[in-house]
Amino acid sequence: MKRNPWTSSPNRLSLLMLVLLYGGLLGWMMEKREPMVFLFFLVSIFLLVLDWRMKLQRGVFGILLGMLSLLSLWIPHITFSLIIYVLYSFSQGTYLLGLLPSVFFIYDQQREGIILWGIVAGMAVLLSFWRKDQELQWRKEYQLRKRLYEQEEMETLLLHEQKHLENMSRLKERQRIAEVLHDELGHELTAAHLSLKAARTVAKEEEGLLVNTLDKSLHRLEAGLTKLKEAVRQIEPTKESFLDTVETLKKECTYPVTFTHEGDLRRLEPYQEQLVFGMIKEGFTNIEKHANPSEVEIHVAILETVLRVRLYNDGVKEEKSMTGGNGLRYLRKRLEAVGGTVSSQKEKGAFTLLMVLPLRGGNEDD
Amino acid sequence: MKIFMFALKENIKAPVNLLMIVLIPLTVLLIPGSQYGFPQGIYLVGMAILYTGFLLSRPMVEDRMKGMIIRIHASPLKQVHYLLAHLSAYFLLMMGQSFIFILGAKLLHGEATFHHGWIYLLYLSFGLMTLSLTLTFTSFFKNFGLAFGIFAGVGSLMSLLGGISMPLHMMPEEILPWIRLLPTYWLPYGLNALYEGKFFDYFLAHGILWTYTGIFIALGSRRRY
Repeated sequence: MKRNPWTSSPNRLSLLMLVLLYGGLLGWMMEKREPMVFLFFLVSIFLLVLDWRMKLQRGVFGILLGMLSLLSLWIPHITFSLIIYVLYSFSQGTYLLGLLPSVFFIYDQQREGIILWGIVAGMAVLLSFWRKDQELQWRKEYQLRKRLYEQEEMETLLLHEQKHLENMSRLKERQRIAEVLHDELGHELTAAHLSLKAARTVAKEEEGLLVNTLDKSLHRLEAGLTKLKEAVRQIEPTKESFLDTVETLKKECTYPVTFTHEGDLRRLEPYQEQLVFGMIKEGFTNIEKHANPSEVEIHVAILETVLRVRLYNDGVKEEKSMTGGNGLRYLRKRLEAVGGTVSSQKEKGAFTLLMVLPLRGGNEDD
Repeated sequence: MKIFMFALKENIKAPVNLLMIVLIPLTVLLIPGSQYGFPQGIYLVGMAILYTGFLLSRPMVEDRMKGMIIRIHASPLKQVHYLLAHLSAYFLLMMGQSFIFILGAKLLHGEATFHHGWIYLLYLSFGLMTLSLTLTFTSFFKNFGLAFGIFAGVGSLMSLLGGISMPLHMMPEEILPWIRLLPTYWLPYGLNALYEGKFFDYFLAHGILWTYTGIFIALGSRRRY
């Protein structure tokens, strides 16, 4: 949303007042016809333009103002141009700076001059109050915009997170169904198949009808078992090679990455793999943002009861504030939902991200 | 240093450009002397400097017009560095031009001109002011041809009213206080002061020209794409 350019603002009003004051000063200067007065008229313009462009430090501006004010003691004609600095300093809210030219201006003035100073200084102070009030409003507006932006960002992240969770739940559910089919139904059917086979062995050949029926049942049961195995294979989440995926992730990173692992990677369930990849991706994003590393190391350890992933990088940039980002926060929540943890450590320009996730059952699952 | 050399080469690679900024303006020195001050040619050099400053700054204006300035600002180069390198290169050429003018004046007018060194310094201050004035002026345009067309008119008017192409003593008394607002006024003012031996006024002219330079650089160095 654009601001209306025609609304009045303290900046515009103080500029208008400066122009009017300069106009008056110019008329007065033309009567004097002193080149020195003209020089200081130009110097005042230069100083204000310089402050506008370079945002001079108040101390530097004060020193320049002090020098000009002192010069007015030797060159009385330039005293009049001091009123410009009074207006400028007071309207900017730098009252102490405004007092300096005020003193030198009033020092040598008649009643009219003092009245002029009073009007200019009074209006400038009012302008400075208005400016401060406007700045406060703008700050509030900025805060509101920031909050809105953060909420939109949060919404996007939550949607992303929801999709991720849905995906994870689906994978887990498919895994569970596949296990049930394989472990329970499959076992039961296999047992029935074996029983029927046994019955077929002991059945006498003369009992033609029985043998025939048993053969048919065996045949259908075998066909059913084959179909069940196929169904289990299809339902079970497709397991891309863990190492292939890590290789793809490594290619996405612009820095040299070393990957090492220990333990049997086949023990990882698909959703656990997804979590590991998510953590690596998050780590890479953080590295791109906050570091300029010479090396990045990923170590995956499948221990007896836990999975431990360590992502290490050096070359962390010196930043004033490094608070945990949303990505890491969501990763933590995601891990906590399945009993895992993630922690980070920054030390001597190096950063380590450590993820620990419990594994089901230990060796007995093999 | 690379930008400085580039800006220098951009201007001297075209012989027509050199002819325009050095040889043709030299003819103004042929204008004969005056009883009120230096020969009129010495004043008219100001007009040559004014247009030279404009012609020299062409590469910088074209950078702005072709969108090159956006790429420059996207690079690690600081704007101050870019500006300084360009302005220094143009100023170096103007120093050479002014030197040729002074040499020509000494050869052509002989005893009619004196304080050649001081005149040279005043030319340099005026040249610097011209460059900064050009910087501000062209920042309002996106086409060099249009900017030059308007500047041709404005420049000749400024030279006429400022006492460069017409001696100050011929100006109507009523407009004299007002033409002091023109930066071009301070070159003939300084030259007159030098002729009369008023060195305080001469240095005052320098001071005013430098202040104008500061104002114009501060205004003209704003990024406009």
